[in-house]
Amino acid sequence: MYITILVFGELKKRINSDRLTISTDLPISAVELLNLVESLKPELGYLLKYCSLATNGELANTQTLIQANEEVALLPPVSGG
Amino acid sequence: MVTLTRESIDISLLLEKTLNAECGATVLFLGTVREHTNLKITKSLTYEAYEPMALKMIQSICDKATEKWNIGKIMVIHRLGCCKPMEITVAVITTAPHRAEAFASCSWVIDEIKKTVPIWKEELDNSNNSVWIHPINP
Repeated sequence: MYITILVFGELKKRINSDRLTISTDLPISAVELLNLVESLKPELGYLLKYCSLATNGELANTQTLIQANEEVALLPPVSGG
Repeated sequence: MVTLTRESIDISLLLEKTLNAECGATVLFLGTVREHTNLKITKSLTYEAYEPMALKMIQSICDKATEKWNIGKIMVIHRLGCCKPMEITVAVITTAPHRAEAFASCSWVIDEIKKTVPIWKEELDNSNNSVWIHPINP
């Protein structure tokens, strides 16, 4: 299946898009998904290590299982204010 | 009330909505674009957010502040899009019967927003270099 991940900030700049779509079996844990993104998108670089994942607007922990049809977002360190 | 806006922030309107007879203290925090950081000159900051999550998280911070302190009204408004030097990027207003609660809650709310809410800024300097700001604490 395909999963679409929303990206922000420098991540967006590095892939020249506000989302990335990757093929994977679902469900997949957050940590497995991050590892997959790291292997498929090396241009994201070291910043990926400092990113969090959110599913349906809630922060995921490493073991959170991501299901089909969930909104997934990759969040770099925040800088609001 | 929690808002993300692409429009300029009107402080007088915010105060009009928050001042109330039950509270003798109102604290207003404004974040603005700083033009000089050491030798660097900032032309603009452009903000983006993961909007649904940012709104939910700011509301949750406001709810926690209301549990922690005896406060009356609380309002947060954060800019999105391009902001020039001196423009207001974020406003936090808390009202309370007494000033201690109003100061403490306002300070806590802006600290939590800056630490946790999915909002990001891209800085454009006077050499037209743009950099996304992602504070990293290894």
